[in-house]
Amino acid sequence: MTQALWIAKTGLDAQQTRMAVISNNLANTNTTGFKRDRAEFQDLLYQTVRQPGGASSEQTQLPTGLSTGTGVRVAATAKEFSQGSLAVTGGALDVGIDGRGFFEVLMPDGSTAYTRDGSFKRSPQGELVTSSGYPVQPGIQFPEGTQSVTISPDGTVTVKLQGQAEDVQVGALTLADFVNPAGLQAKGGNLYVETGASGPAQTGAPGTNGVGMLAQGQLEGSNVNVVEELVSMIETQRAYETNAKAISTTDSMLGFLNNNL
Amino acid sequence: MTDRALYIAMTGASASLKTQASVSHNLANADTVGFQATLGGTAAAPITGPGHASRVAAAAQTFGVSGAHGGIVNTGGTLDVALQSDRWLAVQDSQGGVAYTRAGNLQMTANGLLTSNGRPVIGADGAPLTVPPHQSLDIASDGTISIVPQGQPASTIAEAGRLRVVEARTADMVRGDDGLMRPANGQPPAPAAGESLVTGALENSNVEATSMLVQMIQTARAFEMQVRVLQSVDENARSANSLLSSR
Repeated sequence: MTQALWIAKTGLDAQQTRMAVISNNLANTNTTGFKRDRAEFQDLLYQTVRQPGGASSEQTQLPTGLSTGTGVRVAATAKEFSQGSLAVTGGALDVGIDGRGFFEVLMPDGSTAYTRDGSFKRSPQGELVTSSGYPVQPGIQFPEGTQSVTISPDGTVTVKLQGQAEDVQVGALTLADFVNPAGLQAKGGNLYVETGASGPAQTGAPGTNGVGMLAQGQLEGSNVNVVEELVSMIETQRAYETNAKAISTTDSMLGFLNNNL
Repeated sequence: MTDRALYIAMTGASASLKTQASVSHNLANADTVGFQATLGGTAAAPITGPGHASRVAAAAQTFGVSGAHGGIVNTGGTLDVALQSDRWLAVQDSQGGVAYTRAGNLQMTANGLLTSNGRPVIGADGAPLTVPPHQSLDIASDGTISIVPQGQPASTIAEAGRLRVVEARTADMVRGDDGLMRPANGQPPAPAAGESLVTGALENSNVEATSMLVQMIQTARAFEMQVRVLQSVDENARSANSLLSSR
């Protein structure tokens, strides 16, 4: 009897989830290397009460049936890995990725995480680390007396040492790519971890096998389009209102029934 | 006398509640990609039998799905396709059979399998479509997928398969319990020729929120009238009873 109420409730739930996704996108407008999420809706199963084409008598068939849908759900929040704009920061250890790929990060528990946030720092031990202090893989050690660092678009890291004329190569940055980056699990802290859906990481030098090039002195901004998010927000709010309207209308129908019989 | 009016008004009220459920379902799916509104309504169901043919009950019915075209939204996604009118994307259902959908928000699994809402998308050869590792991917307007294979220069374009897009009128399709469409006559629809989709765009739900709200109000009022009839019949019966019992 209250089927309509529950169906409209699924609509409210789904719009609420979408609003949370939009809020998270908007909150991360200025997060380095952030990739926006998109809530993907899917209609729920249908209940066939009367099958179309069923026999209505020995000779005749029902021309139409009755199957009621049971609402909607958010089936997935898909990350959109489109390129964010690269902004020049001038920092020697700021590295943006122009194209596909992720930096590999060694987590404290020994596992590997991936990030597009290239705002690197030098640790007290002279290692190249992320802003959270996790070492970038393959590890890059800056010798004592490092005056300046150059990171070339293909990942080669060279340093100029005090009192030496020639630059010294101290390592090379690599990029990891995935068949389905949308399948990565976001962990927060600008980090992603590999899942069964993303496929295994394929590591290679920047600029090979379709991964992007590096850009020293630049950082990738968030790919959130504020205008688009605000429009989605309005759309979500209106959709929420119509679902709420469906609940109140159904409620008043049942209220009318209860009060008059 | 009483039972006829009471039961017939009851079928109307119950059909109104069912209609309200389908209106709610449509409104809930106003943002579902490629969703097509359910056309719900009531049909006359004459009660046959001996006696004067005065009883016509109301039966809630589904008259299929709306064939209206949803709005096209540009997303820029390489795996987003919006289908043109009367075009359907073939996907594999949970039983391994072929079913059709207009949800063009395709995804790719780790093995390169293309899916729509988690269901494998079928290629022109009838098998689920798998795309080999690639640097870039492009879906042409006839469903041909071209890629630059991994490790190859950008000038190397390889064909990775073709989406099976078929042509059928919405009226000739039936929606199953899983929300997928299948041809009403059981015959596989003909493959679509030429331009049949737009890449980088999605088709929104074809639910018109305004007309749904109007239908919702209308259904609520109809329900109130049906309840009024129930109430009047009840009063009639009550007064008849009191007249009889006062004797």
